[in-house]
Amino acid sequence: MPADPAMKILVVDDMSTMRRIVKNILKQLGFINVEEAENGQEGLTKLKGGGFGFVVSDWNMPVMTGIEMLRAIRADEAIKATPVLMVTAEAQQENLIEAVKAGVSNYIVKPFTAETLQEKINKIFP
Amino acid sequence: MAEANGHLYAELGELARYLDTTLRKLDEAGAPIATMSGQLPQAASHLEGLTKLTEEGTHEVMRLTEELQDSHALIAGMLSKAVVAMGKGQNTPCVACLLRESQQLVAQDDKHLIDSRQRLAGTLTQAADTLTKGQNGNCAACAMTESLRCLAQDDKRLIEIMTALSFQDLVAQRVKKLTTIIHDVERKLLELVVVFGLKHEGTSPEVKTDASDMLKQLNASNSTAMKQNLVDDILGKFGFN
Repeated sequence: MPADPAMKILVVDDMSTMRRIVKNILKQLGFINVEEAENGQEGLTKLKGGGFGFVVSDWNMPVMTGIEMLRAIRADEAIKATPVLMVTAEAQQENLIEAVKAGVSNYIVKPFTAETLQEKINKIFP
Repeated sequence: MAEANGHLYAELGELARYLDTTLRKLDEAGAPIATMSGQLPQAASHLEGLTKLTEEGTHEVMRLTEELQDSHALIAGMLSKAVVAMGKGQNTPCVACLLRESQQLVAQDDKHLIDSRQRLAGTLTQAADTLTKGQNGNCAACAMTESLRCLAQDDKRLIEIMTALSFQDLVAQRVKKLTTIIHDVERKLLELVVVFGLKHEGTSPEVKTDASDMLKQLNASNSTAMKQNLVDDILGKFGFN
């Protein structure tokens, strides 16, 4: 099912610049309902609050990393089906495999383009 | 036996000389090591400051880019309305007004994307003139469509600017790793200072190196650098206008 433009999206990144970039691209792609979290823990709390249809998350973050948050999401019955797109500078093969094993929906390596983000969203929401 | 003792004393003598040389060398190295261990926290702090500087600069570029994007959305909306109005054969002066309004908005952006904006402004002026003179409406509609195309291209460029700014995140991550390494080196140097009882800052003369000079410059840029308004105030007192 194609992505609903009204879908609530959570952007999780400890860098304010990255959150703003992802948010801006999502807005240009038509998604205006975007919220932010600074780390995995904050992200998880917001997700448990309900209503989110999609998560875009960094890997390296303080308090709780992106991969830890992903595992927590997949282990939680209420939010386990939420698609999670990892956007990270961790470009090693083992990172990607670890993310796939943890249940990531797709994976983008920084730096990335708006086209890449759109392409991945289209793959997640065909 | 005597020969064996002689050999032993010779060996012990050699060992004593070796230890003495080592201790002297260690003593010579002590001051630079102690100084270096004192400089490292400041160097790490400057690296962290670098992250903050790039972050602030990036946010400023983002703010301006977002303003341009919002402005473009307004212009595109008005142009689209104008194109639709022309298609329906509605009031042409109203379309001209819309075009002039778009042109004013573009002029506000001129300082940011001069070349592209000037082209767009020219096209819009041409379209408005055509309309007010009651000339060929189709021609004006073409100009407006072309303007919309220009805007769409610029919007793509603006998104590229936004995504290119992700360099800041990558820089920050590397700086963070470098800071961690520096803290590790600092800890090991301090261990050396403690274990070998090396002289630390205050008890030994400062060792002047390129690194210490650069650190001084960095410290100065943080603590004593003047803002332009202060420079202007001081210049004003000397009669500069």
